[in-house]
Amino acid sequence: MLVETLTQDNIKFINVFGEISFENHSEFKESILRNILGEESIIIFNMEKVTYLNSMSLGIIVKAYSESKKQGKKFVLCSLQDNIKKLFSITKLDKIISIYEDREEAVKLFKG
Amino acid sequence: MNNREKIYLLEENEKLHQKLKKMSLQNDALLMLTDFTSTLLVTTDLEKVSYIIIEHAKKLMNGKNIKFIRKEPEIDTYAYYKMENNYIKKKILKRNQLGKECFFIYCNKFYISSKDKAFIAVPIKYEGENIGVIIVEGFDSGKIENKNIKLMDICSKICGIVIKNCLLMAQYENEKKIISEQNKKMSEDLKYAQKIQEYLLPRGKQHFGRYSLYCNHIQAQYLGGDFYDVFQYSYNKIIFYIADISGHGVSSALLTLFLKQAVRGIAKTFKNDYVYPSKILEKLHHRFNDFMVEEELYIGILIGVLDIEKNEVIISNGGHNVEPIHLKTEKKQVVSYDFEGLPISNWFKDLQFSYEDNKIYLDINDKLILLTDGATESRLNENELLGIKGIKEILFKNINLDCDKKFNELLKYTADSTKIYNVNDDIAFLCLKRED
Repeated sequence: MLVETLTQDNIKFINVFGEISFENHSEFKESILRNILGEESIIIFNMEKVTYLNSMSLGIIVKAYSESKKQGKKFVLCSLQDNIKKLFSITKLDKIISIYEDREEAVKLFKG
Repeated sequence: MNNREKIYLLEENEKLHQKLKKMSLQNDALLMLTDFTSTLLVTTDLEKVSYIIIEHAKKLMNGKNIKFIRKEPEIDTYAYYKMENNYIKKKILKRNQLGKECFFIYCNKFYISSKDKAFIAVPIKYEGENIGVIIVEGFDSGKIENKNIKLMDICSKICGIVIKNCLLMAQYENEKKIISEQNKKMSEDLKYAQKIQEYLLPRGKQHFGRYSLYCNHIQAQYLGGDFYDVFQYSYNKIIFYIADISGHGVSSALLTLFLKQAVRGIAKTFKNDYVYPSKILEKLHHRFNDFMVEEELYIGILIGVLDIEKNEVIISNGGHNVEPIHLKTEKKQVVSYDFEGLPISNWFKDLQFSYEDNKIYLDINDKLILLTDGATESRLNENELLGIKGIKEILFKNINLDCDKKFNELLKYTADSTKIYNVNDDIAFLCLKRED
C-alpha cells in the first residue's frame, strides 16, 4: 500500500495504491489521518488503484470523513473499483459520503 | 684499550642494559594491554568481564587489594567486588549501601591518595556516564608510578566500552526474557479465550421442526471476529444471524460476547410474535453506542427471523458485506440478495436512520446460506477475488449437496486459495434448509 498526496487550488488529493489489509491498516490510518490535517478545505480521496479494502479500513475512511467534517472540510471519494463500490453501497455509506465516478467529475463539481 | 676507554664502555653498556630493561617492561605492559583488550572485546558476559578487569588491574598496578564496583543491569543496583590475597568476594548493593565508595564512582577524574595508605580510584565512564570504578591499594613500592597511571587511563576507557556493551546486552536479554514470558502467558490466555469462543460458536446441525440449520467456521488466528448464533424465539420462530466484527484479536472477540448477549437480550424485549430483525438491529445499534470504541471497530450483521409455519424468512442487513444466497434446489437456481444497511457502529451518532426488513420465501429443499467475507475474499488469482459470483458458482455445482458438504467444498477451495495467496481471514458459514 502506498499513499501519495498532491495539493492543487485548495484541493488535497489523497491517492492510495494497492491493498489495504489487516497487515497495513495501522499505517493506512496514520497516513490518512495525518493527511487530512492541512490548510486545504476540500479532500478528494482517490481510490482508483485500491484493489482491496478490509473492514477495519472502511472504519478508518469513516473516521477521516468525520474528522474532516469537524474541521469544516469537504471529504469525498472518487474512482472506486466495483468491489469497493459495492462495500460502500451495502453499508449505505454511499448515501452519507459523496462518491464520484472519477477525479475529474469530483474536481468539476468543486470548481464549477 | 686503556682504563678510560674501559670505563666508558662499561658505562655505555650499563646505559644500554637499563634501556633494554625499560623497553622490556614497556613491552610487557603493551602485551598485557593487548591481551586485556582482546579478551574483553570477545566476552559479553558481565561476570567474566569483571573478573578479567580485576585480574588485569592487579597486574598493571602491582597493588595487593583491588576493589571494583560497577552498575548492574537493574536500576540503582551495583556489583561490588573486592580482591584480597588473590581471593575475590562479590556483593550486590543498592546505591545507598555503597557508602564512601559511591563518591569515587561519580568522580570526574582519577583520585590518587599517597598519604598513609596510598590508593588510586579510576572511574569507568562511557560517553560521560559513570558506570563504575576500580580502586587499587596496597602497593609494594608504597607509591604509584606514573606509567601505571597512564596504563590505567587507557584501560579505563576500554573497560567503559566493554562494560556498557555488557550492560546493554544484559538489559536486552532481560527484556527479551520478560517479553518472552509475557508472550507465553498471553498465548496461553489466548488459547483459553479461543476455547471459550469455540464453545460460543458451536459447529453442526440443529433441527427446528421441518427446518435444519447447519453452522460451521474456521478461524485464521486464535481469536476471530466472525460470529453466528441461532436460537428459538417462540414455538414457530427462529432467530439466526451471522456477523463479522472488524479486525481480529481480543477486542473483536469481546464484541462477539457482547453481540450474543445483546441480541438474545433484545429479542426477549419483543412481545409474542412481533419480533422483526430490523427492530433488533435498531436496538442493537443503540446499545453499541454505549461503547466508546474507535471507528475501526464495528459489526456487520445479517439477521433473520424464520417463521417455520409460513416458510418465510424476514431478513435485515446491518452492514454485513456478503449477500445472503438462496439456493432454489428444485428450480436449480442460485440467487443472492442485495440488502443494504448501516453497520452496527458509532459512526454517525446523530444520524436518523432505520433498517429494512426483506422477506424471502423458502420452498421445499431450498437453502439460505449466510457467509462471511473470508470466503468471498479468497483469491482466484493475483488480482481477482472469488467474490459472491464465484461462491454462487461453487454452490450451484454442489446444489444437491447437504449443507455440511457444501461448507467443506467451499473450505476446500478457500484453503487452496489461502495457501497460494497467503490470505488470512476467518470464514463463518450458516445454512438454513427447509427439509420437507
